[in-house]
Amino acid sequence: MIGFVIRRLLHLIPVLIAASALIFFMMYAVPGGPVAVLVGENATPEQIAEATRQFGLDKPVVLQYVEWLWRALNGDLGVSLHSRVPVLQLIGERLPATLQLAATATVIGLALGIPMALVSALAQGSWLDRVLSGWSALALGVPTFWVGILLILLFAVELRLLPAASTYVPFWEAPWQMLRATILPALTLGLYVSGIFARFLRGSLIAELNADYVRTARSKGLTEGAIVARHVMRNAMLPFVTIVGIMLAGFIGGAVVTEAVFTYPGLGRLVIQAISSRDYPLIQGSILVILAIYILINLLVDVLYVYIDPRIDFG
Amino acid sequence: MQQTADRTVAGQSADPVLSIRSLSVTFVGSGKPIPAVRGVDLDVFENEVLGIVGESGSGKSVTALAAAGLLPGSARIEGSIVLAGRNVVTADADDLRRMRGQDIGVVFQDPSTTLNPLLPVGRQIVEGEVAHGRLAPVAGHARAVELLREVDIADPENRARQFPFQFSGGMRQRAVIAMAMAGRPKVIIADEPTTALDVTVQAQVLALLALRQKETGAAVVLITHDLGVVAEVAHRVAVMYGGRIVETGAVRDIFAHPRHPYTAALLRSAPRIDVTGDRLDPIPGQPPTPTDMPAGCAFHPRCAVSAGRERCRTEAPPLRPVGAQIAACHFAEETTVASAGIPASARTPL
Repeated sequence: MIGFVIRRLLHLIPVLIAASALIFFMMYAVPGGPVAVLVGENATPEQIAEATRQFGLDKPVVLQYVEWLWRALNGDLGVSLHSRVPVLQLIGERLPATLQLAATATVIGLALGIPMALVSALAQGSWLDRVLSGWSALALGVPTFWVGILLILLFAVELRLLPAASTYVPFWEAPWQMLRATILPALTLGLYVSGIFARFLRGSLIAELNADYVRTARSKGLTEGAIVARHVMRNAMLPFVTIVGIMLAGFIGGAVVTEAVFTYPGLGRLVIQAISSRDYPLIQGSILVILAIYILINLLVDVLYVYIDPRIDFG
Repeated sequence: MQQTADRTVAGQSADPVLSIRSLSVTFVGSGKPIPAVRGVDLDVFENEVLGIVGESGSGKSVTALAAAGLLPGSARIEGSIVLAGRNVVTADADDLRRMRGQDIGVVFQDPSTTLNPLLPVGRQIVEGEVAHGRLAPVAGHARAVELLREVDIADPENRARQFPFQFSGGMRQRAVIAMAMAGRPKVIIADEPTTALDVTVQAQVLALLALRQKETGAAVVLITHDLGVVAEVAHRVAVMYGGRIVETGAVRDIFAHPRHPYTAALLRSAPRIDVTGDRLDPIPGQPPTPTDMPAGCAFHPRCAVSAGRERCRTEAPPLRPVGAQIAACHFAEETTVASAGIPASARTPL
């Protein structure tokens, strides 16, 4: 098992190098450039030449990439052009907030989605199933910014229970404060994924409930509850963990809209800010970190797969 | 009013352990209701193997699964199925659950799908016994090992901890047999237990099933479309066609003197290795679909004996004693044995 994880972690290196090259050259191809950002709009040609030399932008692009990569491998992702703060520090400030929001949202999604899927699948075709299926379609279809705004209107403006703007409070420092500060954006994202989770798990549960081994379990005289808990759930979990992993990973960089609605200090907003201010080192650095986390979550899903399914080898 | 299909068979003195009367099963869904079983009477006694033979859609599997209470919710069941003194049709879910494992066990067709791929085989074998409180969880492994040893699986100690994918097809079916027998049930339903297996393994699994039946004295209801399988292990046979039993009796009587034209045709259509150069003689036409059952005798459109007789088209023949067995044919006395006298057991190198 440990060998499997180490092997998979080693696979991560070439993927990240390839991805970083892609990001680097893609940004090089985009019109405009970092120099314009550095020197401002009214710069003289001399100032531009000076800044270009200073930041090494006069060197061949391949050399620039190699130098950037070398520094990145040594833990230096450069300095933000905008705030002149090291990129790694900026990401380090945002990453815990993002991870905390993503984890909370996923937990909420699972807490809502799994029971919904179970009830739906076991009462397939009933009015309850139809209500829950309608609900999950609604959760999926309504845009998160709208849900977010509704939640703010209800809990912050009307009831005055929760703050409208969310801040990052580390869970281990003040769990209650953290919950107050994070619950609204987490609920917004959690409601959305609960629809996906419920839909997906309902489908695989129904498929598994019709499997031959379920009939076998029935022929042994197991209760329906034991059949679901011991046989069906485990088999249905196999495809389900993939979806949970994809959604969780998606929140790492992709919860921009929700973060913006709640002015939550997450990675998604950092990237958007970096892109709009053409803060090249910051864009590169944060996309690289988001990608690395994405791959790590996928690795976690693969490990879970091996744990659930004995047929899969530590290959 | 009930006519017992098996009354004339000698050698059965005790009460039947499974007694089916006027069983009708209709599947209702979004479309037209599908009458899969249309009035079946059947008795199964302990310490015997009853073969139920028929083509696909004849109702043989539905009849057997009904006995285990395993039909889906879309099945409307009429009649009675008395298993070890209790009526399966009217039993509530809890009663039914308690009967499973201890009164009835099932061996299904395809062992590659009947076992849960994610759980160790040993655990699955004793799971029912543990769930019923008849076996302490800590004793589970030891009991699983014992059961695996009884079905001739080598190294049962390790095999019990393995997963189904680590078993061959034949071994999986042995494990399923061990599982079905774990609670020492009085009746074992074996629904085409060898159909999904390699030919070379079929005979071994069949022999094992017969051996375990003898050792435990259980009744085995063996569902098959293969007359060779029946000849090999069954004591009695019931031939089904179009949701009804058309002929039933001792295996040797029916193989020697089939009285229903369908049975005779089945025997003629079975490949044999003892007669070289002999062409196979398939039954003309297709089996009837349950939603479009011919009037009168369901077999008459394919029947050589009927040959356009008015009575076959209008009047459903009841089961009646003919010779040593019971057959449902107006003209059973005319069914000759000329072509069907050689037991089909000679057909494959079992």
